[in-house]
Parts: sequence; structure tokens; C-alpha cells
Amino acid sequence: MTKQDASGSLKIAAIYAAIGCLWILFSDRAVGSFTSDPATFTCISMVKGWVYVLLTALLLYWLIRRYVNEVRLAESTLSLCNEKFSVAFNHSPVLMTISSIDTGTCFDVNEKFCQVSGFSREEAVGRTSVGLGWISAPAREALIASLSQTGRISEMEVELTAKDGRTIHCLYSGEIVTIEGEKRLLSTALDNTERKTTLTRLHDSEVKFRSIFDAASDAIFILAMDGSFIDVNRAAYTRLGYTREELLAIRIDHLDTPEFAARVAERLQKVREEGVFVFESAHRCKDGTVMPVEVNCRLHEFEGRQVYFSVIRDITERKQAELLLRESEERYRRFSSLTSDYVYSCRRSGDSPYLVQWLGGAVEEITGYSQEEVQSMGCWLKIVHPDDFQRISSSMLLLTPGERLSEEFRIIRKDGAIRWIRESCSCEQGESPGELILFGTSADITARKTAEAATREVESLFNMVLEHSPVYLFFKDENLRVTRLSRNYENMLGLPIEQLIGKSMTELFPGDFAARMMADDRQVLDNGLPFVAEEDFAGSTFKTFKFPILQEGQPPTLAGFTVDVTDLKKAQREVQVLNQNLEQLVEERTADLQKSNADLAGFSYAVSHELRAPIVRIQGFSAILGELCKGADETAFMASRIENACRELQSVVDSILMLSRLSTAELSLQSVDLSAMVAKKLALLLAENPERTMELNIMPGLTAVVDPGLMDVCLNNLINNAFKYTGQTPAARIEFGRLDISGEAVYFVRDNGAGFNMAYAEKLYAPFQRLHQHKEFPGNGIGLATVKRIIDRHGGDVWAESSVGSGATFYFTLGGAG
Amino acid sequence: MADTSGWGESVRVMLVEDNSDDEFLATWVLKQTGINQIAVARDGSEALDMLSGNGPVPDLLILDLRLPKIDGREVLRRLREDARTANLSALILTSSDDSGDKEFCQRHGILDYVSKPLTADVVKRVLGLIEK
Repeated sequence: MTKQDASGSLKIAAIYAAIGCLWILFSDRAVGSFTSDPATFTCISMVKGWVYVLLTALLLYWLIRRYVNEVRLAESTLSLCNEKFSVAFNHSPVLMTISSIDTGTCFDVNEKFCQVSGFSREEAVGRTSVGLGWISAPAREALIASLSQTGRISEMEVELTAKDGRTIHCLYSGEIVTIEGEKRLLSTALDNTERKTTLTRLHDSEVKFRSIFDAASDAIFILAMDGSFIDVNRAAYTRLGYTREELLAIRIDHLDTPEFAARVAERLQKVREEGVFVFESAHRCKDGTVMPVEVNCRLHEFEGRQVYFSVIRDITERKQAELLLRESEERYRRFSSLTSDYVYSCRRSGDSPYLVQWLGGAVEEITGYSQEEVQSMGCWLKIVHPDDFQRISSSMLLLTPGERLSEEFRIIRKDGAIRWIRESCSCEQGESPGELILFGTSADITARKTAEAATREVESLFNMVLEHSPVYLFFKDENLRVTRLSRNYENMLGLPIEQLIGKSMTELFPGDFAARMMADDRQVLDNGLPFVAEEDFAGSTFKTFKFPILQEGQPPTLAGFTVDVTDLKKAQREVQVLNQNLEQLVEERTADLQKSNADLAGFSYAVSHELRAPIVRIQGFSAILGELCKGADETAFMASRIENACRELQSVVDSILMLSRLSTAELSLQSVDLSAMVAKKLALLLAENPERTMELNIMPGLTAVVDPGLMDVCLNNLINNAFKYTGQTPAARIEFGRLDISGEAVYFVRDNGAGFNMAYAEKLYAPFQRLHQHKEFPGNGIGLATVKRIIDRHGGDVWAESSVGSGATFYFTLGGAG
Repeated sequence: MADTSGWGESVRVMLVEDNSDDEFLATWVLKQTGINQIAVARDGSEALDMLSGNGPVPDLLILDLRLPKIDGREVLRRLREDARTANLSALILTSSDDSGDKEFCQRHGILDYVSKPLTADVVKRVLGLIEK
């Protein structure tokens, strides 16, 4: 009986006792209070007693029944258990033994035991496990120690030895059981061998996996479906600079750089759909550097669940290589666009023509065809000019490996233009026998060719000049040696030009003449200034012009030309003499002329002067005659005619006198207001002739630098004429003004009077010539001659325009003075 | 024909003229103006002789410049040197219009310098100057 049972029973008894006592106590009191009748009291007490006994009996019944049931149940359970146990024990797939705890003496073993250990039941039972050799003593001790510590043995790994010496790895478990009242050890041993082998293999496999996992140069991430890290290999965390723990703590989308992190979900989706997905990303290392990566991610089963298995390749180098390649390509493209050449490679097998493999550079710029067009042509020989085709094509086709070729030829561009090309190519052996490869480069040399042609032309032109020049042309180098000479030097120096080239002055000319020449040459080269000199040589005089030729980066050279000026000099001298003579002659002539003029003027003057006196006399006498003959009509008439003739004579003589004075008188120039002068004259005339009405149009303020006296006479004549010839014009008008004709001041006096016939214009200025009859318009015809003389003296010109009946306009200029 | 005004009759004129026609014409005009007392010298020296004596000095000297022997300018000059004839009224009557001559004569004091022919107007004017 256990303590529990005892205490339980005690409890029940105590409670019963307590209740009973209390019942008795209080029930008696209760009855007592209820009734005082001793008979009733006793009767009730008796009933009470019976009830009490009845209750007790019931309680006892219940208790006994329970007890019995329990016992029975226990018994059946125990027998069931024993049965079960027996079955279980004997049929267990697991090795079981029942042994003594202390000694290890075996009480029972099951069939499995026998099967596994090789011991029969009879052999085992009654012997100790250690004695059997089943288990080693230390092992057993360990088991027992564990048992005493924890009260059980739980799956301890034990090595057991079978009868035949085989080692059996077992997982040993033990329980303390009570059998037939005795504590026994119930042991079970699971054959662990397979499991252990499996475990070992698994372990090995795990180790292998681990070593591969960690040894892999690529990083490997194993991610859970939610993106968190399950495992990472060494490469993964070392490359990123984390420890394993640190890396495992991060989420994949934190590892990616922001631009890639956004797409994590999308990518994982792809992996789930396709099973595997390769993509590029970039990871941030612990130190912040960004590592571009290529991720190969696949779905996998790992330790029983779906994971993402990602192999991460560091593609930094690859990326760099790609970048370098892009840069290189970019460079190539840039270069290609700038280059003025194009390059190509072409290939042929056997006797077939060369086919273009590759073109680069300025193909289109040079040929006009695009790269595609040239390539589709097959070989660029097709664009070579027909005249050059034969030459080029044959030399190209004859090339053998190792040989090079450089040719100049023409091509015909797509637009039909012809260009010169310089092409260099080298021939190499191809991969297969009989295969030849040409690598070539072509440059457009049209400009050079054109320049060369132009240069040749210039050169030949220059040679022509040197050949035919009448002037001596020479060119000397910096050492004053002849480089080029004109052909005519052959005559001067008596040697062919070829022998003269390269010679110095001293070799060609006599001593000090050459020395002087060279000194002059030196001076020109040193100063950089041209030089002119006259020299006598071999009886002739030469004038030499020399000048330096300065070209960048080269020493200065000399060039010049020499002209035979002997004849010129002679002519010059003659001219000089002639001039001198001429001057003298002119002086003499001028003196003569002046004298002559003076004489003439003097003569005119003297003549006129002398004529005056007799004329006056005639006038005087005829006047007297006229008086004496008053009354005698005929005589008086004669006398008056004589008087008239004399007056006329007088007038003519006066005019001649005045004209002659005009020629010789000196001009005293002053600024004179011509308008005022004209106005005054007209005013005077109108005052003297009040019957005349006139419209005047005088441009005011016209001043000129003239001789006042002469101008007065001149304008007198012009104005008087205008006045006179408008005498018979009803609405007379006289104008005076100034025009600007080609920058020169032209004055004019215009009237609307009788005018004259322009056909007689030549006679206008001839002294005493008249274009009108005396009857109509009196005058002696000297007026305009005077005007002309005066205008001439001022250095000007006078001319007139007129038509009969419309008036006349007289124009004059005043030379420099106007 | 004769001047009826009466004046000029007492005027004594000396005419120095070498040409007889010019002399005639001049005399004619003078007579027309009433002057009758006319002495004539035919050249410069004769003129000077006639004026140098003790005889009366004429009221008016009519002097031609172009004279033989001594010309009119010289005569005038000499006359002016002589006190007797320094203020003698002189009229130059000439056929020249030389400004040099004119200037010279004016410097030596003359009444007027006129070109031939002599006119009655000129005579009257000159007489008027003499009266003063």
C-alpha cells in the first residue's frame, strides 16, 4: 500500500468520523429541541440510529465495491498488460532485454535479441550482459549512470557485440519496470547500423556538399521562399565582406542595390514559373562597394522544403571587359568617322577573285558607296577606273604571302567623279591551304595629285619663263650659289646653263665685281630687304633687283632679275640733254613770245593810241563843217556821215585798245559778289531806260574770286547784251545764276530776247563779228570778244546756247577761281 | 557863234600844241566861248621861253603832253619850280590816257586832265574854276 492510498484512506476515515461525531452531537440536540418527550426522543433516536447505520452500510458497500472493482480492473489490466507486454516483448522488432539493474543478469530476452545477437534465449537468460560479451563493462556503467541520473536511458549510442563478434551499433534505451515485484531494467536497442551507415553516408555527403558549397568560387545563396537566407557559402560572405552570421541576417532585397532590389519579387516569380532564371544584378558589399553579379537561380528542394538555390557569379571583370570593349568600339567608331582612309581585308581561295571580308573607316566618304554596297560588290576592284584596272588587278592577284604592294590609281565614285587613291596592302596566308588574305588601307590622294599636277604646270610655266625671258632671272641659295638661271645668261657668260648651276659669283664674274655682288647678296639675306643696284659689266650697264625668298623652316635664298639698261641709260641721257635743251628752248621761246606779246600789245596800244589823235581831229573838223553847213542839206548830210564814220572809228579803236590792255593786264583777285554787281548794272540800265519793264531773276549771294575791274567789264557786256537783245521782247526776262555741272560752278546770264542762230556760234567771240544788223541792234561786235578774253584770263570757259526768237543763255566758268 | 555872256573876253589863254589841226580845233572852241586872247607855243621849250620872260603870265595854260623837244610833263614841272608860274592854272589836253601821266600832272597841280577834243563845256567849267 502506497502512501497515497494510506493517506486517502485516512482522509475518508477521518471525514467519516468527524461527520459521525457531529451527527451524533447535533442530531441529538436537534431532536432534543424538537421534542421533550422521552418516548418520542427515544424513538427518534432509534430511527436516527438506524438511518446512521444504514448510511454507514451504504458507504461501506460503495467503498468495498470500488475496491473490488479496482482490484479486479487492476488484475485484468495487469494480465492484459502482461499479455501485451509479452507479445510486445517477444514480437518487438526492437531488441529487448529484461535484466537486473545491479548485475545486469538477464532475465528475459526477446526474439529480436536472439536474432540480432546470435545468442539463443537459453544462452542469454541467467547470464550477465557483460558476461555474455554483449556489452562492454564501461558501456554498461555509462548506461547505468545515465539510468541513475535520469531514471531512464534514452537512446544512447552503444556498441554491442554479437555472438559472432560483429559490432552492432545500437541506440539503447532503458526503463525501470517492476516485474513480479522486482525492479528490473527493460532495455531496448535499436539497430543503428544501417541508420548509422546511412547517417555516415549522409554525413559524408553533407561534408562533401559542404566542402563543395564552401569551396565554390561562386557565391551560393540558399533562400527560403520568403527571400530570407537559409544558407550562404564562404565565397558569398567573404566576397561581400560579411561574416556568415551577418549575411544570414540580411534579406536579399537589402543586399541588392536599389535599382535591382525593386525587381526581386518579379524575379523570384519568374524562377517559380520557369523553374530557373538567369539574370544580372548588383550587390552591395559591407564596405559599400557595388559588385555586379550574374545570378543563376533555380527552385530546389533542400532539407525538405522548396528553396531558391542561387549561384552568384561576380561579373565585375566581365563588366569591365564589356566596358573596355564598348569603349574600344566607341573609339574605333570615332576614329573611323574621323579617318580619311579606309581599311579592308579580303580573302580568296585558289583562283577565285578576292572577296571583301571587312571594311572600316571612311569608305563612303572616299568611294561614295556605303560599306554594304561595297561588300555586296564582292571586291572593290569593281570601282577602279578602267584605264588602271588591268594594272592594279594583275599586281594584286600576283601577290604571295609576305609580299606588300603600294599602288596609285583612279577610282570612279558612285556619283561618277574620279578620284586618285593610294592603296597599300599586304598578303597573308589564310587558315586553309590555298587561301590568301589581303589587308589593305586606301587613302584619297586626289588633292595631292591635283596639287602635283598644278605644281608641274607651274614648274613648266616657270621653266618657260626662264627659257624665254629677255630679262636675266637668277636664283641663288643661302650660300650664294646659283640654283636657277634664265637661258639668256648663256650669252652673257658664254657657258651653257647646266655648267653655271651651283657656281658661286667668284667663279662666274671677275674678282672685285663678284666680291661686291656677294656683299650685296649677303646684305639682302641678312636684312631680309630688297636691293636695287646699277652695275657696269662688259661695256654695258645693268640694273639689278634682288630680294630674299623667305620660307618657313628653311634658310633664306635669293632671287632677282638683271636688266640690261645700257640703251635705256643712253636714251635717258639723250632725253636729259634734250630736256635741258628743251627747257632752254622753251625759256627762249617763252621769252620771245613774251616779248612778242609785249610788242604786240605795245603795238596795238601804240597804234590805237596814235589813231586816236587823227580821229579826234577828223571829228572836230567835221563837227565844224556841220555847223558851217547848217541849212545846206546835202553838205550837212555829208558832214554828218563823216561824223558817224568817225565815231565808229573811234569806238573800234577804243575796243582794240581795251582788248590789247586785257591781254597784258595783271589780275588782282578778290572775292566779289557777282549777284550784287549784276543787280546794280540792271538797276542802272532800268533807271536809264525807264520805258523798259523787265522781270529779273538774280540768284543772290553768288560770290567768286575774280579781278573786280575785269569782271565788271565782262558782266557789263553780258548784261548790256541781254538788255539790248530783249529790247523788242514784250515780257522781257533776264536771269543770272549759278549751276553745278559735274562739281564745277557754272554761272549764266539768260535772256528771253531775240536769240541767235547757233549755226553762227563760232563767230560769236570773234572781234567785230556781229550776228545782227545794226538797224535792229546797234553794237560793234566787240563785247563778246571782250567777255571771252576776260574769262580766258581767269582760266575759265564761256559758251552759249540760243535759238532764234527764244533768247540766249551765256554760260561761263571761272577756272580755279570760280 | 560867239559867246554872248561876255565873260571870258578878258581871259588870256596860252595853248601849247604842236599839231596845227589840233591847234585849230582847240582855238575854234575857245573862240566859241568868247576867249580871243590866245597865245600858241609849238613845243615845250617855246612854251617855257614865252613864260619865262617878264611878260604877263596867262590866266590859263592849255597844255598838250606830247610835245617835241621838251614834253608837257617837263614843262609843267619846270613851271611849278618857277615861283612866277607856280600857281599858273593849267589844263592838260591830251590824246593819251596814261594813268602815270595823269598822276604826275595832278601832283603838280592842274585844274583838270581831259582828252581831246576840247569841248565848250570843259572850257566853261575850267573858267569857272579860275574865277575862284
